[in-house]
Amino acid sequence: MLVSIYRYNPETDDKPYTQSLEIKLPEGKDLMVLDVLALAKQEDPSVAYRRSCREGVCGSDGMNINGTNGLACITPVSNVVGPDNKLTLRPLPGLPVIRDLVVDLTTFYKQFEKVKPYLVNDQPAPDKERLQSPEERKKLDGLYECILCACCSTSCPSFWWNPEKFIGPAGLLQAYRFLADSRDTSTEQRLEALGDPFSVFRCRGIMNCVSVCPKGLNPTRAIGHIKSMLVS
Amino acid sequence: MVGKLNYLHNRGVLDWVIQRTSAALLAIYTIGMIGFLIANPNLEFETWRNLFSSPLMRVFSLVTLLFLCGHMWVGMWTVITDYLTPLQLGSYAKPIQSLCQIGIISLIIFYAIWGTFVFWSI
Ligand code: SF4
Ligand code: SF4
Ligand code: FES
Repeated sequence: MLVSIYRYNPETDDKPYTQSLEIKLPEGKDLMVLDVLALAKQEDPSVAYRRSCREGVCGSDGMNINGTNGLACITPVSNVVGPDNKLTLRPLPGLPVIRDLVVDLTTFYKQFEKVKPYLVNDQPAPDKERLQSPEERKKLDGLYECILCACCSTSCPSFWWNPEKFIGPAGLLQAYRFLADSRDTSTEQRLEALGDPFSVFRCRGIMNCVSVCPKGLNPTRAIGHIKSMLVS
Repeated sequence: MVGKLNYLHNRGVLDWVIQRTSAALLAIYTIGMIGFLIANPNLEFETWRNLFSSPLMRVFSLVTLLFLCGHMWVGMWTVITDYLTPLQLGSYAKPIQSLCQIGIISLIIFYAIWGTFVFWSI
């Protein structure tokens, strides 16, 4: 299979280039994209990428696979490769490249940090724990599972245009995760911090984020909830 | 439906509400106009004039015009701040943005005055 990999080392290369490698895949097996990348690295050990858990839990191998963001470790080659039998791997779009498929996620994390992704509660702590009813707990489903892989935010045009000002789908999903938490008492302050024209309202609802999320989450819906909380 | 509008003092929320309400109003106006045109296939100048000279229609038209201006401003401002950013234009972004904003505001004010004049002179 022909594997094309985006290569760029800002220290030595003037500009990025594409490296094409012919990789022989084992017969009768559907590999994950990450496995193919490992085979490519055997051919050329200088290829740089991130990975850790190799089972879709850590979120470190988000990349652009044949034009769509996803986690290399849980994307089967058969899902993304067409009849031309070509695999093109690029870094997540819109962020500075540190090297090859490794991007600088500083802006992404800064936006995450902005939404105060932790429980804020000004009531005295109870002896044991803060309880939630099963219904209250259910509201966090589809929100807490995010692994911060950045596939969504880096597929979002609004995030490309205003990465410093628009929080982006990943951050906003977490913003709503704490707005929806019955144990959090800072709803008002949280909303107050989101009412400017950029943080939330740059979302144009085109749902790129939803179509790429490897965990099947729906940031657009969460953003919709935030917008309704802001006007009601 | 829009409730207490708690956070209306925030620009983003205000813009969003303006955009949605004006869109609804513009849709109602457009549908009303189309309905009128369908109901009057052989439209005479007199009928057309009568429609616009009724005080109710005048007020409705002017309010719609005002909302149209609001709609234009929010929309154009958003386009400017999406596509004319430091990312695309570097240090020129700020002055170019300001220039475009002044241009658009002037145009909107011109349309508002001209539109009012047109509706009032029927
Ligand atoms: S919402 Fe989905 S795509 Fe976005 S960071 Fe979380 S897990 Fe990744
Ligand atoms: S729905 Fe909103 S957050 Fe998601 S990709 Fe579109 S603009 Fe970005
Ligand atoms: S390596 Fe951990 S998510 Fe892919």
